[in-house]
Amino acid sequence: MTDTLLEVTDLKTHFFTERGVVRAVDGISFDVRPGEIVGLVGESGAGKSVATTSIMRLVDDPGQIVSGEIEFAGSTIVGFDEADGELVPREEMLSNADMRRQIRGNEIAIIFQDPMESLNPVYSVGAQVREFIELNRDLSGGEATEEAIEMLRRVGIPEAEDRYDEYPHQFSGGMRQRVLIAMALGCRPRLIIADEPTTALDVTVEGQILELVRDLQAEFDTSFVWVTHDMGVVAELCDRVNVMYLGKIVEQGPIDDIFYNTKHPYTEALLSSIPRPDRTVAELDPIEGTMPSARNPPRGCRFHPRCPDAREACTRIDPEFYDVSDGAGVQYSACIKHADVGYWDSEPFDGQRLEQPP
Amino acid sequence: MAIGESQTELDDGPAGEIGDDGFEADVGWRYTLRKIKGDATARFGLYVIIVVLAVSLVTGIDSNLERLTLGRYEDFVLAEAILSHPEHLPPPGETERRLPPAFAEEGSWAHPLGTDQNGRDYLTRLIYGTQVSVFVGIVATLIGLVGGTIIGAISGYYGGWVDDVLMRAVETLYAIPPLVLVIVFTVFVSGNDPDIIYAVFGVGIAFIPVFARLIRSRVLSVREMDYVEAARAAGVKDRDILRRHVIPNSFAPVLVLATLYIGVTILIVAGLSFLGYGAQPPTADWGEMLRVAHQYMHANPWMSIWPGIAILVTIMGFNLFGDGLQDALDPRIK
Repeated sequence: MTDTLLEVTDLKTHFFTERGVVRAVDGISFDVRPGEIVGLVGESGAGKSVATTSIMRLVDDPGQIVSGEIEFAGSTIVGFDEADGELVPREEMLSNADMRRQIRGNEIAIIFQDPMESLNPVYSVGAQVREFIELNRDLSGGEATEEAIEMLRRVGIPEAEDRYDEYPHQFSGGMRQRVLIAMALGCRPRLIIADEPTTALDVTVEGQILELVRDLQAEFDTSFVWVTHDMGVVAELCDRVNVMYLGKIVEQGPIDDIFYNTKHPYTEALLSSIPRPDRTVAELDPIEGTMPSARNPPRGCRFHPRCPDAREACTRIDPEFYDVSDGAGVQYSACIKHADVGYWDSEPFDGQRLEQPP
Repeated sequence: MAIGESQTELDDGPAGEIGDDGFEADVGWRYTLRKIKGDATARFGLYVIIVVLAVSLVTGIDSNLERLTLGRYEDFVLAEAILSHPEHLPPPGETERRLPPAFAEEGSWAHPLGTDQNGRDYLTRLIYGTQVSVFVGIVATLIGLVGGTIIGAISGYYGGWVDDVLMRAVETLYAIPPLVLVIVFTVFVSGNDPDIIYAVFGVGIAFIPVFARLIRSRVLSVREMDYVEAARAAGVKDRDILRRHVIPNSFAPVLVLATLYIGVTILIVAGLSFLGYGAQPPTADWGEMLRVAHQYMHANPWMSIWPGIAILVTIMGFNLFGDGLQDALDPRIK
């Protein structure tokens, strides 16, 4: 376990709404090793953001982490013990105050999606970088200011001393995203969770930011969890990828295997729906339908109503995580094609393709 | 690469200076003031406020104030000597009572606005009344503002049962008409010995709900902003998140409301004084002056008119400025 920085095991985060339980994250497991960029990919609503806020223990009401374990560098962020058939939080689990002091910002930092919304409009950019640095590192006010300017320079903001006193509205989207990266890196965390940080940017700026992140990652040796819906970004940046669909991870593995040796129909569908210069819109192969509600997920494999390869068995069998790397334990897929449970013998699934089960 | 892109950006100058993009919302005091300068009615309101504040400050630093407000005759004559032509002054204590203003037939320029029922110079009393009104307006509004901001911000930020308890309490307070609330408060706290300070506190407390509800509604949306989430994710304490991130971003409408409410509190406290629950004689207060004057409505209507005008102009000043501030702070209304 020593070579794992973050380990998430069977994490479930549910939202208890008046209209029923939304299983936003329903049993996901993945790990992050030091110095690694791990992708978390999926459509909107797949539960990627809920997974990341669960790691920070910042899930808002009515959401609740109902089971699973999150271990970070030896401390237990989430852990449950079973007592009398009920799950009770384990004792060594960090208290809320400890989470705030030790983990948030200090060990794990988040970069949010929308650079326009993630900076407080009433304070200067520099003051905000300094606030986070001061809070999470033992630096005096003056040192923190210098460090903040240094971080702004490191993320490629020219004339950092002058721009330190400027306000967020005087920065462009790409510049603000750099500031957010400076804020996260300035705290010297061991892990940075990047929650779709380039989604709101145009493609040229996105490229620059990705390049910057790769450089800084090498320099600071920070691990990343990179949340995105963009397979292109994943290809450019990540070492390993987790593909999420409707609260579950459906495929997990090293980047090359995921791209060149795809083992799950959903990943395949995602890959073939990427716009490419050599294909027109008509030639694109979008995934049919929309993701069903996590309140009432389809029975069996959750992807079967939209899956081109679905067979009758898929509606019955809830797939486990099957090792698809010939026992090497690096690539996993949650598709019963790869297990001996009767997929190949069952009838192709047709009719009520997009209907919700009762 | 990265550096090149940012360089071109810098060449455009800081984006805030462009301002015409439409989507770049300008912020800051300088911008707000510039906008108010371009708005004639708001500018007028600002001038009125400046005059009122200046007058109250001048009387405030006058060491004679305390003696003057006590209302002994010779003191008022001293004030007369400052404000009018000494050579016209009648002997101390001999000032004519209920003199009409100077432009009336029996008026004298020694008392430009006439005198009251005790022979005190009306202009002097009006001027000293400014100080009471400004004090009342600002202090009472501050009480409502601070109390309401704390309650509303906590309520909106934490939600859940905290919100329920605080807001139900606030709504209970809100359901009682402010005048009734203040009168009850004054009578209870002062032990039937009313004074303006009780009225000020009473009105301040009565206005807590207005501010609490307003800021809560803002906080409800601000707390969902990413920068609040980012602060939580960076391990900032709840208290600091409220103080540094939530409240400053929820404050603009509260500031507007406070400006408007300075006028409202002045009016309400004047009303209380009129009813005998506010300033007590011999304090020079506009409401108190009105209370006395209404007994002489037929004999000398001017005694009612002057404090009325003073109240009207002051409140109008704060209202016009408040409206202007609202327009300046709200980019949607052009």
